[in-house]
Amino acid sequence: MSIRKDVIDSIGRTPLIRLRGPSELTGCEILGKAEFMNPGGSVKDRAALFIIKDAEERGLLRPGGVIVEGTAGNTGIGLALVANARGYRTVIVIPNTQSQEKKDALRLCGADLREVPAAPYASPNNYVKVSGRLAEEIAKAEPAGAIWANQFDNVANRRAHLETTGPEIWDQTGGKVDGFVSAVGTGGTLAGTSMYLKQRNPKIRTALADPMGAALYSYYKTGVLKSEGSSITEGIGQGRITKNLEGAPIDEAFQIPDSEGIPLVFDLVREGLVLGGSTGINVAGAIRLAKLMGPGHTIVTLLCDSGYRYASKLFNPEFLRSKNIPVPDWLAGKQAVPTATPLVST
Amino acid sequence: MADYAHPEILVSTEWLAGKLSHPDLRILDASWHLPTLNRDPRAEYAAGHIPGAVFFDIDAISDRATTLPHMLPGPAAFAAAVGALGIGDETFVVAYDSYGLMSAARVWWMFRVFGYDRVAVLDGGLPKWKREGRLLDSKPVTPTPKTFTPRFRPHVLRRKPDMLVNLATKSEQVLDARSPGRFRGTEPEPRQGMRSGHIPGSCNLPYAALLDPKTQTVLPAEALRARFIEAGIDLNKPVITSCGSGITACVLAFGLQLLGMPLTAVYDGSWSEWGLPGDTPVETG
Repeated sequence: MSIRKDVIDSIGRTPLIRLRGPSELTGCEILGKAEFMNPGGSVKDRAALFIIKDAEERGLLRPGGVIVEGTAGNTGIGLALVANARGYRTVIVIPNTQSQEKKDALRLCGADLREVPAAPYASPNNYVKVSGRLAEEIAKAEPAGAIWANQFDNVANRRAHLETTGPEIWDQTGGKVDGFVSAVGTGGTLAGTSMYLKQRNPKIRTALADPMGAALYSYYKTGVLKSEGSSITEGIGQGRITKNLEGAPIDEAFQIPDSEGIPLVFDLVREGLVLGGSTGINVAGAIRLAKLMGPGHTIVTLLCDSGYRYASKLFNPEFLRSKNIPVPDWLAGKQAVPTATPLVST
Repeated sequence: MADYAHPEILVSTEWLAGKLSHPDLRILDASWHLPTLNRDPRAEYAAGHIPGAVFFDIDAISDRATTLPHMLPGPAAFAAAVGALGIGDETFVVAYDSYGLMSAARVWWMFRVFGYDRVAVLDGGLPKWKREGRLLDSKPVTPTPKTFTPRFRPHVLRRKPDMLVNLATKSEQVLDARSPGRFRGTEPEPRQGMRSGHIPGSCNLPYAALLDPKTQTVLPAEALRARFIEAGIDLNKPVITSCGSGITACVLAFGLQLLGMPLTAVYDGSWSEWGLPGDTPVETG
């Protein structure tokens, strides 16, 4: 018998997949943890589960309680699914500039969406700050409790990776792992996984793969938070040291331009893996670390989410052209298999 | 930390004390006593209850068409009764009783059977509340009636025919919450004219074994799990709980839910039905 007792029981324990192209390129074993196979379709299910479990254990949530977060992406989906499974409701605050497909994805999971005008992080009207205030307000009115998930600074997030992602990688490789690379959005994945792996073997090299527009590469290289450029990737790219990142044991930092990371996403489609943009940054980081360490090493990174969520951007030829990113053959319509017979006889 | 799979269904006295004035919170005094004890829970409620609590009368909110004690009412009758207690579809319900945890679990289970999940149980009940010197009130509470929508989950209710079928199929484990003496048939039943013993093949776990004997609070997860396993229960397989009259069986169901088991089925008639003079098979020893 191997029946998972509910959807929550199906979060994590994802496969570790050898990435053929990057491995052949570097002479290393480059392995991707298939986080897109989580029920909510991304690595964020793990953080969502730990944030909710933590609130339950602290007595902040009772049956029918509410989870509030300011997010436009996968965390909202993860929270909504875990909340549904545990009998809670979800309120997601989202900037009104977000794409329709993201709003639809959250709505169809049953989240109660509250759209607010876009405002910079410094503004009290920034969607993340609005979500914090909204959580406080709901907590007063709802006897079953309401929490602010606060994924950036709630360290239950990184504990998910310290307690699940890290141990899974260690077990799946039989401890034969030399490097771990991840991009940072909240910092939960990189910090938590690195902390666990370093506990098991301090020689494991841990590395940040930072997209353009983020400030952490500069921080880990020079100590100064400074950003330049921009990226089409979503859900990663951080401008500050979040609580989840504090004290993270990070050995290396790579800055990955989209021109390096995005083509890797398209290469992976050729391997049968349709993944999102952040995975491109991760795999580029893994290749960089592999080159730095030399052949014969095992490097692990995360395959954060699937590409199906990005049909209108990452896999949209017009959008790619507007960003000067080469359009892959099959999206540009240049990959037709030659055939002679018409499909329909007239 | 108690480390339950479902910590959210058990509230602390401290939590409740901080929510007393909440308009959408309904506290239920679910106290009930064995008939032999001659205690009147309604009078005890009137003399002192947690502020804002209303009395949930387990004997009255029941199926009045049967002579069996406090059998589950129909969905409409339950909805009308709890609606009159001021419970609507947005209310958060907390049940407690005067022992620590006994009949409050029955009320928790009744709400769950009728599809309502916004319900929790007060850990340690009234004794802990009193011990901590918290406020008690003797003022009558007049709730504003509300509309409660029942969503009956008949699959978590077991009746005698189901239990007879299960005797043959053995598809569900049966766990009896009565004292070891009543279970073995060496101690008299409190209700007159009953046979002694237990349903053949059932296991025994007195409900009080789930509680800390000093504080009457629920044991932490690890100790709780050990109690069920020592009683012979496989926590990966379905369980039906049973007891004297379907009340303390719900304490076992509550414990199993804390450990992450799906909502446990209760044999509503329990020994009050099975143990009547008749031809249901009985095992002793």
